[in-house]
Amino acid sequence: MFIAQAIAVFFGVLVTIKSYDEFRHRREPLIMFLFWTGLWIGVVFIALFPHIALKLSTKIFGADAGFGTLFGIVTVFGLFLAYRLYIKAERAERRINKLLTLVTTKDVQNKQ
Amino acid sequence: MKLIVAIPAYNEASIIGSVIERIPSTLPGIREILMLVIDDGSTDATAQIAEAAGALVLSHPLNGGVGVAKVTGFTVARQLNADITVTMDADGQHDPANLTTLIAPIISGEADIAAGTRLKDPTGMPTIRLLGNRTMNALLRIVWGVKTTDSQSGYRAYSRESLEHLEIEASGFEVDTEILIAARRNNLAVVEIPVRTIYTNYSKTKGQSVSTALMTFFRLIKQVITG
Repeated sequence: MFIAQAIAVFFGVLVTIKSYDEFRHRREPLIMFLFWTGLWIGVVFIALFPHIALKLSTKIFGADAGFGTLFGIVTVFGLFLAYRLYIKAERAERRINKLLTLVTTKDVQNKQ
Repeated sequence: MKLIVAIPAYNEASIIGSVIERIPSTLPGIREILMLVIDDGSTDATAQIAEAAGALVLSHPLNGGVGVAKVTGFTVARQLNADITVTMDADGQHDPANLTTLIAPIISGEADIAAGTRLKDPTGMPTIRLLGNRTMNALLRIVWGVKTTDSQSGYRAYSRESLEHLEIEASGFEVDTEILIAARRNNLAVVEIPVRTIYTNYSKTKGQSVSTALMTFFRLIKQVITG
């Protein structure tokens, strides 16, 4: 239990510091900084206070549900997020590739 | 007819000059030959050496991959109204002596694409590379129905019409395989021409292996998924 808590805190602090650094250098918008910070505060909270998190999840999802449901939702959301990021990165790369060709072939008639 | 020999190059300063110089200045049925080097963001003197050797050099501002360099080459070929475009590797493994037989099916109108194949006689090809190529050929046949003996050969000749139909998305080594898939999709006539490969210590370090073949396969699958 302690190891899981330590890992959660470690990554939470790491991501938050990284996100703040990106925000400070204006490479990340405020909304994204708040989103990631909020998300990791939530993760660390669940790791440090599982009994409170369990009470909350029981209240929200009902008595039959518990951490399993919460874990399932978080996993699905995480995978969805990863998939969206992957698609967006792919599309961005293709746009850059097209731009590379466009820039390079501009005025090619004059270069001949 | 106007022929463009397009050579994508990335940090090939040590060999690009000799590759260009070995290309014949006259070929049967060809009125004009233009050597085009697409410098894919090299950090060495590739562009300067290629230019000094007599090629038209176009430089990508950054390294995009051999696939992007080929797309740039095809775009230039269309802009400069090339009747035939030949793609060659910059590592010196392709023998310019095969140019005449490679472009012959395009000149005669027999084919839209003439693909050089090293595997009709794979003597000298490193085993690992041979295995990689055969793996990719098999996967290509099973998944996309493309029959080829050398899916990863970069030594090919293209008619002007074929370039109008090839829309390429690949940025890396998978480009040559993607071209075959696109050719099949567009019902382009592809013939295979046996070509000799010059294996030097240098060119052996540049080729593709089983891992590249599998990477190529997964990248092509990825393209299908991401649209």
